[in-house]
Amino acid sequence: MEPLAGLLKGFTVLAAADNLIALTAGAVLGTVVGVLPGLGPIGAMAILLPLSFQMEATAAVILMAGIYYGAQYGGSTTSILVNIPGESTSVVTCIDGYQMTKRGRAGAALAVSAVGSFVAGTIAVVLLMIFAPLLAQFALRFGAAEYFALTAFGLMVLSRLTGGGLAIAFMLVGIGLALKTVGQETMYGIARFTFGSLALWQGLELTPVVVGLFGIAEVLIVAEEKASDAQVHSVRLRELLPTREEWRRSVGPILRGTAVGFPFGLIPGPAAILSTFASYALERRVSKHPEEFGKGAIEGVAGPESANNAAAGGTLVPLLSLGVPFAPPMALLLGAFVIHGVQPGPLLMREHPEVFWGLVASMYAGNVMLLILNLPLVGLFVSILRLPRDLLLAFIVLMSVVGVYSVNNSGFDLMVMLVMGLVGYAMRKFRLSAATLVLPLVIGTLMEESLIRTLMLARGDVRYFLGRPIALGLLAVGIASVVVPALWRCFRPRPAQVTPSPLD
Amino acid sequence: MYTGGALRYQAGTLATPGPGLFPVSVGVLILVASGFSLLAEYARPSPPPEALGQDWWKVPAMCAAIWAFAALLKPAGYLIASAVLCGLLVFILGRRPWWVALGIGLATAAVSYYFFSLLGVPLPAGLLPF
Repeated sequence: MEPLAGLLKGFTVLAAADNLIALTAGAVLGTVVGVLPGLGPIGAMAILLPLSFQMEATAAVILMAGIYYGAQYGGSTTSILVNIPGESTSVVTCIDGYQMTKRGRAGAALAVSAVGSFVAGTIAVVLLMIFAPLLAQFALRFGAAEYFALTAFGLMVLSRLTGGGLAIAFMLVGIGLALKTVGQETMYGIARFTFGSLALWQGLELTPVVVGLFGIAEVLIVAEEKASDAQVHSVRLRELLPTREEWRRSVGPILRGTAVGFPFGLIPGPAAILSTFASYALERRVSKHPEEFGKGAIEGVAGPESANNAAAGGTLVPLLSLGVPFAPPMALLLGAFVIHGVQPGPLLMREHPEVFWGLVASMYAGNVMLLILNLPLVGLFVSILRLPRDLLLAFIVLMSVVGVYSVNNSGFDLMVMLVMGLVGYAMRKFRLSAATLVLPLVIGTLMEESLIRTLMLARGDVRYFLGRPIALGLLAVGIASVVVPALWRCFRPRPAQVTPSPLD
Repeated sequence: MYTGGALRYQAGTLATPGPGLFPVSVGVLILVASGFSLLAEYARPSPPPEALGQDWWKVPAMCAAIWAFAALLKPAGYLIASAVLCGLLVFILGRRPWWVALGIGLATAAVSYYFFSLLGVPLPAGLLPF
């Protein structure tokens, strides 16, 4: 379908009441979890995943995506006003954003980050609309070998990017894949690792695992810290207007942030987080007055805040066109698709155009909505920070348990959630990223099936891969991304830390 | 870390043949990776884990509350279980007297029950007649 015709169709789909409600709910919830430190979009998406069962596929996907990019807007607010990142993607924003608040320019920082998010978010949707169909066309030629290579590539690159040691990352990827092999095997229908338990026959449900690893674990981490009463500056509407000088200095960073962020979204890993660090480093390098960075340079807010939104848009491309999630929130979005029997991938645009174009249209509208939520209404969301913490956490836990229970009416799932909550808590303590565990869990089945199909087609002959240049290339890049840095370190004993680990 | 690797190894080799190919490869991957991470740990010990928070006792307490919910849900019903869960959580997390916490628990249970029924989420009624 042509982009314009598709978009028109998308907006017609969006006009349905259900979809508009889902979009509004997604945007509001995304902003709320963005503003709240501790609870992130992954946790919120995980908790709402079970509730989205009741919705139509399009509405469910619009809701989930809205939470994700909405959180990229909301995260900056807390960073700027309280100096606590509302989101891991807004860690960098604290540096200069809070300094601006101290100098009385909080309003300008908020406005620039909201406008930057809007510009970047909108450009990202345009790029998504152009690239996703192209990539899908290309991916139509993919066979089992390519899919195996793609999943292996994804996991290898992921293990490089999530912080922590390489060997440990591989171990976690392995454990994630191993967990996926629990239950009935899809090719032969044989039960594996069920230990005679009927509950394990279905395999581990994704929902309790992610709600535990991200939702419950985050609540536990927040709960054990001493309650600190955050000093929240109130913002008046009049203060929100940046000066002409501030606008002039922000245009470049916003556009550069977009250009940096979107490609990050295409790479496996925590794209939005990494893109903010990259954008900040870039802005400091190209700036005419780098000495201002760290003391309230508006470029240090505008660039990263745009980058994370562009990256958020970019991460949708591999999911929608290849069907493979490259970032943890996309794994949850994939969950929302699959629950409704819609398989994202090369055939999505042909078989479910209403879902694809509805989602694209919702992202245009959602960005406008979020701009309104985060500029004139920013005060409303700031007041959420003053809610009593115990009530908020209790509410989140209640939503989690009811959500997890309602999927299968299963008490066993609740126990899985609780155990995974403790695992996630321990992993956080050891500075390990839960994403390295969840992503293999999500793409494990695709990986195993495509491996077995490939081996069948090849009759066990490894040379089969030689005739498949795409698969071979993906595998080569994946292996290179693991081996090259390791060799580099061997020959250069100096530790060259390129990306600061954002997960600490 | 090490035990994790060892346990998984056993699981990997116990796989049924045929469909066991993938689990076995995964098991080998985990073994090799754990071996390397042990070596790395020996060569350069990783930084110690983050210290427990000041209120660390809240973590097991909250887990106990969630466990109580899971245990009570089917026999006692949603209203009782969620009242217990919310009451306990508010009591653990906040600095409120126990009767306020209990009140909040009961109120949350009732409101959320109504809300979830509206959404059409099936919840066990348990002991209570409604």
